[in-house]
Amino acid sequence: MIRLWLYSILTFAGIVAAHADPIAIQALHERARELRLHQSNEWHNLLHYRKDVFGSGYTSFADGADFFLAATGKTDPLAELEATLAAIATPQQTGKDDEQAQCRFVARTRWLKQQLNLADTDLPRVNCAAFNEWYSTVNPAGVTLVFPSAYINNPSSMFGHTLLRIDPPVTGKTKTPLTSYSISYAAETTEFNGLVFAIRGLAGGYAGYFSIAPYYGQVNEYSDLENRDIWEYELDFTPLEVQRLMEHTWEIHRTAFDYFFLDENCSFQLLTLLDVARPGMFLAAAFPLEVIPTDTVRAVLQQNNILRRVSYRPASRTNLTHWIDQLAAQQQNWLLAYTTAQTNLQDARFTKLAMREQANLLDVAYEYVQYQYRRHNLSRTDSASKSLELLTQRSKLPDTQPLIDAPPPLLRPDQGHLSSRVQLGIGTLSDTAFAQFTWRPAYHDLLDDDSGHVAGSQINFLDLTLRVDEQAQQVKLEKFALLDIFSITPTTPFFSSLSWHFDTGFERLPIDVATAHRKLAYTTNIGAGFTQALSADLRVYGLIDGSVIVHDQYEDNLTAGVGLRVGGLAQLIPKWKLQFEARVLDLSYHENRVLQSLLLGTSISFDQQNALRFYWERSGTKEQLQTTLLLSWHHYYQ
Amino acid sequence: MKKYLIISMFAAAATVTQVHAADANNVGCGWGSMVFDGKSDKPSQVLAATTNHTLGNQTFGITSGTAGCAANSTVKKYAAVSTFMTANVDKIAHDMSVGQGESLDTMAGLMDMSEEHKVVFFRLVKDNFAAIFPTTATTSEQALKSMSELMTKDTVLSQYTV
Repeated sequence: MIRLWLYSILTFAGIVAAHADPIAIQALHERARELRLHQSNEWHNLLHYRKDVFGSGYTSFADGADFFLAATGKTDPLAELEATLAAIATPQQTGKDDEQAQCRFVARTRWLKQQLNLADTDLPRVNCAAFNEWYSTVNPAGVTLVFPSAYINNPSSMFGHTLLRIDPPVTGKTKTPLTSYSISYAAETTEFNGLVFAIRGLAGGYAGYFSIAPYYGQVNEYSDLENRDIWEYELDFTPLEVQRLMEHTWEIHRTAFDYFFLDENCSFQLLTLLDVARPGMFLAAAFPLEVIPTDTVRAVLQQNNILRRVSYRPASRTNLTHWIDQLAAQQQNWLLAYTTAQTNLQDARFTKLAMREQANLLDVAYEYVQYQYRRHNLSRTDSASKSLELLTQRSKLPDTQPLIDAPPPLLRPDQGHLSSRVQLGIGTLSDTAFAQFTWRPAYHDLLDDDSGHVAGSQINFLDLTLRVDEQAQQVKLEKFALLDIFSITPTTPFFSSLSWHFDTGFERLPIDVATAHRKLAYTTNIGAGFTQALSADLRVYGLIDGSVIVHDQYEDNLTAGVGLRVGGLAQLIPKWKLQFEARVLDLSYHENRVLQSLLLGTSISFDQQNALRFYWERSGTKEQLQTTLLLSWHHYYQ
Repeated sequence: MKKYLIISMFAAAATVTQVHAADANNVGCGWGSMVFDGKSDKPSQVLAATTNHTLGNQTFGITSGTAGCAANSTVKKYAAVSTFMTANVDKIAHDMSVGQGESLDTMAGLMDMSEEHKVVFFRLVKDNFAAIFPTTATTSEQALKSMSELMTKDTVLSQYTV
């Protein structure tokens, strides 16, 4: 019976079992059962099994069929284990060695051999030429977790991204991580519309694959094109742990995984690799619902003996801002004039500088020309001729001192406030007291502490507020923002940025003309404008809004309007912020009224987990304005 | 009026979320691209950052251009240097004009250069910058060739020529 069952497994897997030694395999199976190998954490990691939410079974995240050797492998750890044992212990009659189970599933084979005390001679000899060449090319000796952080003026990048860098052994004095290989996981698509991509991705509509490519390509993309600062967390892995990670990477590289943006995303999949490298960390298991890259970095860093060192690689724009800030006003003027072809290197503002300053200014000018070209603000011809002129001139100066990179911020992304937030608040609305509860799974708003985040960026996701007041004595939905993005990025003479805003969700508005009662409506606002930094700690902004309000009181169930908002955001002292905003929304095209609001908010952060906030708001219509006071405690968690 | 407003708002949303097709696959520009061609930006890639994706073919092959050259280490080394040069030429050119930098250091590393000889190499490429990059039409391949010729003539550096 057992033999028949075994035979059927082998047949399913397409493996020719004719020359197998059935007794040896059966003995292996018995030993594996005695040791309960199929129930071990290591086996579950290798096959990406996770315990089912309902029932006692297991299901693998892997979706590619050839990842499993048993037909029922996706949901049966034992059958898969036995099929794997049979496959690696059975000499193959056909096919190249590279296609044999031992060569395709190198990490599984290593683990099973170790658990069952198998010597190399106990298994058929194979020469895994393709694997060996791949492995020696990557030449792995160390693993670095790489986190490209958010980029300016793009709040949706705030969730970040993670990848792994595989470093070769250090030879000579200097390390050259640029030519290391990086492992990343991404959805495979040719979809160019981000909105379509986002929606389909939420539903798992794409297949995800691991890829491996030189790290300099990632640096060029994240640092230069997207202006994202990169944090590199060098992990304290043993040589064996590094080896396990790479061998497992090899065996999953042809496997498709359904890609879900929220949970089965890039950062989640990297955790599964780290789990294989060092069993017992249970990293992936700690993220049953949503996976935010910063949270995964924190989860990794919470492990014992995991971090060797952290490096910071500032983005091109971060460096440029730093360098330009250090230039004297005359030099800044020359730089602007030079880039816009209003002057040249013969200008006295340049020629009269000391040699060190000339070298410095040429370096900054080159980086700025490159930046402007990447932003499409300079044509290829202009950028090429200026670049060549600057570099040729620079090469003639004997000074070989390079520009010094921008220093890292005081706190790293993993040291900022945690990603999810609950808040409890009490307040009054037109002298009626209320209490409210708010839950926001992600991620950061303008008044949250900016440490570890990009200042002036907001993205609230599924932000839900329930409120109960002393009159009605029943819980009502006060607000439910599906998505609320706000970017206030200052425009400077060197960097022009459009500030923008997009939000969509339910909120209470004084819709009823007669009573000004606040009613729940579905609103969408899109706005654009400009921000000016009056000092390093104070930004003021102005945006024009377009709004659509959906409510059954309106003809066609909706109305629309145009509005204006002006405001400011100040960092009073570290951890203490203040925001003010005045807003008008003109709906007079349809109903002859204007909504307006004046808001003042302030927030004090105590640590990564706690903050206190106060709001004063006067809002409504010109005829009927209501005052809201709200004091709330914010607790951040992960 | 209302309808037009709503349509235009959705059009605006679609526009800001449009990922620039041609720009999304820009890592490794291929052979013979212009030195100062630079790279193009993705200014309006709003959502793609949250939702990382690759375009088209998945890359698992080692992209150092060494396929089929495993037996010949000279060819392999040339391919590694050349690929790195092509993808990073804007940084390498700058490092050469200064006389040091991470990208130039990495390229010297790919040529297995010793620390003391790197100093000589950095000096050489700085002093001869105008010969390596004579015009704006110079390709990264031509620049690499000029650099190799200079190295061949140097007593110390000739051993590293690729």
